[in-house]
Amino acid sequence: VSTLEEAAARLRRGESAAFQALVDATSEKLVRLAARMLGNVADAEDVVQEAYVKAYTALVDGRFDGRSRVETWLYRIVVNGTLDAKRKRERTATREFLDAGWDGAASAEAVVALRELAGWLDLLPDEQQTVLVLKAVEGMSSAEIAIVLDISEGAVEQRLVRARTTLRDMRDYRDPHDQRDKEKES
Amino acid sequence: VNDNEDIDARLARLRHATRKVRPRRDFTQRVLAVTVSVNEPPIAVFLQDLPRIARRLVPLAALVAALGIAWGFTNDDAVDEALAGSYSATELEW
Repeated sequence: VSTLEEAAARLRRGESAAFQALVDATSEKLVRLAARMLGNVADAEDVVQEAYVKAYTALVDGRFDGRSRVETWLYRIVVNGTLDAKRKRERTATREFLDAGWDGAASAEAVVALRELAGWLDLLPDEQQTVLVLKAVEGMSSAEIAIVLDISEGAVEQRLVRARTTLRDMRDYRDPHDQRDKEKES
Repeated sequence: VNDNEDIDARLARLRHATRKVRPRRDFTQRVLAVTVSVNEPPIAVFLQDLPRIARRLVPLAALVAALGIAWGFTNDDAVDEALAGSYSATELEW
C-alpha cells in the first residue's frame, strides 16, 4: 500500500492531518500538469486547489470508492478541472507568474515554454490535447491514461493518432527552435 | 526526419523546459486553509466568527448597559416611595 493510499485511508478514518501528506506528495506533479495545459502556474494552482477541495470532501464523505489508485483519481479530477477552466476562462497570456523561489533562468525558460506548449495544444480539440499531454509530456502509459480519462486503451491510441494528424495538418508541428538552428546552419 | 519525430522532438523540448514548474511555496498551506474552511460544519464557522461579531457588538452593549444603569437610578426613588407607601398602608391596617 503506497503512502498515498495510506493517507487516503487515514483521512477516511477522520485523521484530517493526513491530507497534508497527500497534498505534499502530489501537488508538484498536478500543478505541473495543469500548468502545461493552461499555460501558466497561477491558473494551474487555482484548478489544483479546487481539485483538492473536491478530493478532500469526497474522501471524508466516503464517496471515493477506491477502485482506482488515489493518484490516478486525483489526475482525473485535475484534468477535468483544467478542461473546465480552459472553457470558462480567457487565456491569460499576459499574466505574470514568475515565482521568486525559482532559479531565474529556469523560470523564464519555463514561462515561455508553458505558453508555447499551451498555445500549440490549443490547436487541438480538448480530448486530443489531454491525451497528447498525458502521453508525450507527462510520460504516462496508454493504460494509465485510459484509467484517468475513463476510456479504453484503444480510444487513447486513436486520439493520439488524431492529435498528431491534426498537428501535421495544421503545419505547425515543427519546432521553431530547430528551424532557427537549421536556418543558422544553412 | 518524419513529421511524428518533429512533433515528438518539440514535445520533448517543452517537457524538459517545464520540468521544474512547481507551485509556489505557500501552496500547501493555502490548500489546507481553504479545504478546512470549506468543509467545516456551519456551527464551527459560527463559533469561529463569534469573537469578531462580539467585538462589533461591544459599543452597542455598552450603550445598553449605560441606559440600564441610568434607568435603574431614575426608577430607584419611585420604587422607594412605592415601598414606603405600602409600609405606611400596612401599618395603618395593622
